[in-house]
Amino acid sequence: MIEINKLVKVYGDKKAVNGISFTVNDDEVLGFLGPNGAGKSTTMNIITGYLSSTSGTVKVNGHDILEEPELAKKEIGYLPENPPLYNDMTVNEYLDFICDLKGVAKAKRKHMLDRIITMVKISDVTDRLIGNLSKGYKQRVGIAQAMVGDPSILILDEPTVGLDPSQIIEIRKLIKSLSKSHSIIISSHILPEIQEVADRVVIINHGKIAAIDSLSDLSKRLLGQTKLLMTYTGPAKECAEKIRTLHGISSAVPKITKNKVSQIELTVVGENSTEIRASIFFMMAKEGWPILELRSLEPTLEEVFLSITSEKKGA
Amino acid sequence: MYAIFKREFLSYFRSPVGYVAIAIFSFLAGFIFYSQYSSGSVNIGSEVISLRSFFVIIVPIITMGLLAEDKKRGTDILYYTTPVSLFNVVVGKVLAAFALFAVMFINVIIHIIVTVACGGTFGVGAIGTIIVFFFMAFMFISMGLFASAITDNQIVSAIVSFVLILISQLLSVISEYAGTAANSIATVFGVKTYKALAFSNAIKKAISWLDPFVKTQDFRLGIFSVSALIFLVSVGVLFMYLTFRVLEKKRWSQA
Amino acid sequence: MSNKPANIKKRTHDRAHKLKLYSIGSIALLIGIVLVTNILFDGIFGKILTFDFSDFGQNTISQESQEFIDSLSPDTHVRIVGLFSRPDNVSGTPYQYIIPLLDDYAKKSDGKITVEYYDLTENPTIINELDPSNAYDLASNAGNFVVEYNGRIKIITPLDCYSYDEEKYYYTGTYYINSNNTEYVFTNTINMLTNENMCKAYIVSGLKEDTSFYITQVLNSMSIIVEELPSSDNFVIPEDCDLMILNGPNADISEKMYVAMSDYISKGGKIFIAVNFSIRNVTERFDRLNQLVNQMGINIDPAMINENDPGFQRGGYVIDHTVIATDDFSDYYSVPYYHATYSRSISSYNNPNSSITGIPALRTSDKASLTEFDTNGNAIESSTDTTGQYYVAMYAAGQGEDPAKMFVFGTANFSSDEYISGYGVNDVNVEFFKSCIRELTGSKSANAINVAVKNVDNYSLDNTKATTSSATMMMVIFMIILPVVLIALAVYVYTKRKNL
Repeated sequence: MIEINKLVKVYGDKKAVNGISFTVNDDEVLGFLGPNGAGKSTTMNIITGYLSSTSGTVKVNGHDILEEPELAKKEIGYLPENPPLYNDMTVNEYLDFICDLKGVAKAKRKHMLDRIITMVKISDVTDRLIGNLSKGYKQRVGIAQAMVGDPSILILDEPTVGLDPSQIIEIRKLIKSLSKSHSIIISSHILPEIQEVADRVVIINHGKIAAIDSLSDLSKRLLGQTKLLMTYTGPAKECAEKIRTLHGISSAVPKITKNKVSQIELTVVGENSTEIRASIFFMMAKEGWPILELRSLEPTLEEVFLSITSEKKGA
Repeated sequence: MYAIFKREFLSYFRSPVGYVAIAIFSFLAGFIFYSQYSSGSVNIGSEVISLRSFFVIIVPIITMGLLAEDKKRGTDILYYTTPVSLFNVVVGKVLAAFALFAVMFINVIIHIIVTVACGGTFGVGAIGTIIVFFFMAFMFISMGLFASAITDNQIVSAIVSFVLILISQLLSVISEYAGTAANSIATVFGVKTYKALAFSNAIKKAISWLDPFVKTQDFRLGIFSVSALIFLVSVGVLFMYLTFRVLEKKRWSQA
Repeated sequence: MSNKPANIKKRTHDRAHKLKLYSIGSIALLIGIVLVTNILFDGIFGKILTFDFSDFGQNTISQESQEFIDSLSPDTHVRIVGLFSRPDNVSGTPYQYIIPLLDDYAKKSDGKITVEYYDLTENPTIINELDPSNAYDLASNAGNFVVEYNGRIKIITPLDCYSYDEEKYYYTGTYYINSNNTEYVFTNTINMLTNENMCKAYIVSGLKEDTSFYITQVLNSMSIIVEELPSSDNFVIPEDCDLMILNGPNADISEKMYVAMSDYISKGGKIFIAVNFSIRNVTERFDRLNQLVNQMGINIDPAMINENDPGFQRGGYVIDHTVIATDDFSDYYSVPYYHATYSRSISSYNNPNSSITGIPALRTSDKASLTEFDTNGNAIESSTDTTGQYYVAMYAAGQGEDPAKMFVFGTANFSSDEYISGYGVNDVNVEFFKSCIRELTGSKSANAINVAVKNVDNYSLDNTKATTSSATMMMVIFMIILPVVLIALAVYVYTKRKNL
């Protein structure tokens, strides 16, 4: 468990992190979201003890990172944005060095490394030079490094950045499998990654927390808006215009028309969308455009993120 | 500490750096030994003293990458985020470079064996110079490590440590110049001659007091001065501490 | 909301500010500790924590010097002044063994001895201070040392502090330092200067003899002032002459000198003569010198001693041999065996005009023989037949209150620079010589302080092992094979690991 309380980090006149507080529970995957330069890496660096905060506290399983750094650091495995890899070492040599560094007892070492190597699927490259590995393998070696010493918390800073799609899927799978036994903080600006693995999301912007919530709650917070997608047989433009005249509809955007089948995306304003759905049904029936499907759309993180950050900016 | 020491020491032998440094040292030591040997008398003490003047080249080669390379690759983050203390990192790195020096020194040990086998002397003066050699190596290595800590560019680090070591090798010359300069400045400001002389002598003395070579010169005669060794160790520790503070600074610096 | 940021700013800067202060403070503190520790150790404990482990304690005064210094009265003040500014680095210079030792004198003398250094160009007044009458021309002695006591001074050059092997120099042209006499020279100089009753010896020069550098040192060490007495047409023996020495003359004395010396003997003079038999004096009969020694019942024979007893020979040579002190002189030194080469036979002379007879001091074995030479320097064939015991040194003394005394040595090994430089001022021959001088000068000479000379570190290799070919081998192994193997290893490791 990590308790972060009123974290501030000042660089010159700028506050890179400005009063961030949140808690990471045991065995939870926390997504850490924010645009570039929002203070994600700085926050993670403070949590892992790389940087000291200007003020505020970080407690890792009850150990303050500044007061009991060695105990706190034992609990954390960290994969920084640039994996700290020595290109002139082989994977085995490197992991052995990390074991030395984290003080893993010789007796436990082999068993633990075997487990980690199988888990992150690098067993076929253990004797190769890290400098000669592909980006995906390097990233996995970085994750393996973070896992050495069996920390209860993993902090992964942009673990998929620069990887190709298949590698991203691999890494994502890996994180999912890790989440069963670890608390994980994973930062990214690639939203689907978070969407798929995170239980909760912290969104920060300009060094401040914009939102903390579980994914589903977050969606609901979308200013009371509901999006509906309607599929029907009939003309697109004409229908859209008609629908816009209905009460409670803020927008209607025609999407596709194919074989006389059209799709319109509707934005509904108001607490209760049931009445509006009914009025749409009656209108469509009246026009003789049969509704094939009408369903509500879950907002993507992209949308959540955009709406929150832009809202804050506006304020 | 052991982890850092092991990695750095082995990394000398995983890359050509260690071999090249040892090769250079072997060649230089071999040259000095051969020229003494061919003249029919070998003084291991003066061989070791001559080798000391190559610190200015060998120490920067050995120390330039120790921290600068870590910073450049971002691997220094490991020192901050794993449960090792930064001071132990510094100690481990110094020890690694020091151990490389010990490996290089095997050359001289072979020379000693050859000398003794050929009926030469390996006296107490030579032992004194060897003691000084290692204490001085320690001091210069910590200077080199400090130079490596203040930059992420190996070349810059090498130049800084080169200059640092060069200055300490030239302190007696510098003290002469500084004394003369002080004298003329004092005279320009209208200080009385004898006072100006006393002033310049004081400056000369103060600067040459820092000279590690003057401090330890009697070792070759078999006179072992503990205070000279304390000087070398304390300067070395001071630079180690400075290095530690430079690393630590990265944590809290708000620049 | 409006006053909050300022508040935060103040609070938030605290931690970084504290850390910065701590960082700078701790560095300043450490620098302070380093400085204080070093100044403390340098200034206060420096001397105590300095240990002389050198072979023979090159840089530490010996027990003998220490006892001598302790025996000086507490108000004694001896100044040792180096006429140069003290060099920072003495290694490899002639001062290497001198300056550290002088420091030890100063340290262990309770202020009786001080050591100072003055650059003559910076402090020209020191010349007048030490030598007001300018008798010693100190201005031309830059680089040397002056030992001063009560206005009396003696100059010591760095060269005085070492003995060089003159024989090696003769053959190779290079000086090989044999031993380090620094402590011997300084302690005995101080002894001489602090001794009020000094006796004066004159060494006669101008008779084709060699230098008398080392016996001067030896005599000095016995508190005897030594001066040169050149042979000249108006040769006069000074009134204050307590001892006259003819050290290895290769030419006979002049008539004038003979007269002066006879007169000297008749007034109870003391003479030491050493005449060996060498290629340089083989044709010299020393007639007048013989006349002089005949007055004391001693004769210098024109014959060279061949030692035929293998037990007495050194290295199997008949002309390089051991001589034994006779019973009368067996107490001159703890061992009665001495070393003589190219010895001339010294015999007793039955002088009809005097009752004085020569007493043998050093003898050969019973199996020695003589090679006699004619006036042209040719060996007389038949002369070697008779074997027997011959004498290499004799002593004679007159009668009365202050009688004339004379030692005549048939070998140069007791007083020549060539011998002493090779065997050192602590050699048994030198000890015997000193006893002879003591016999001649009686109570007037002080006992020398017997400081052992120290061997200088010798780094030479065994010639049979360190040959040219082995040197070439060293070059190949250490300068070519080893570096090349290492570079090859570097290339191998690099290429191998590169493709892992």
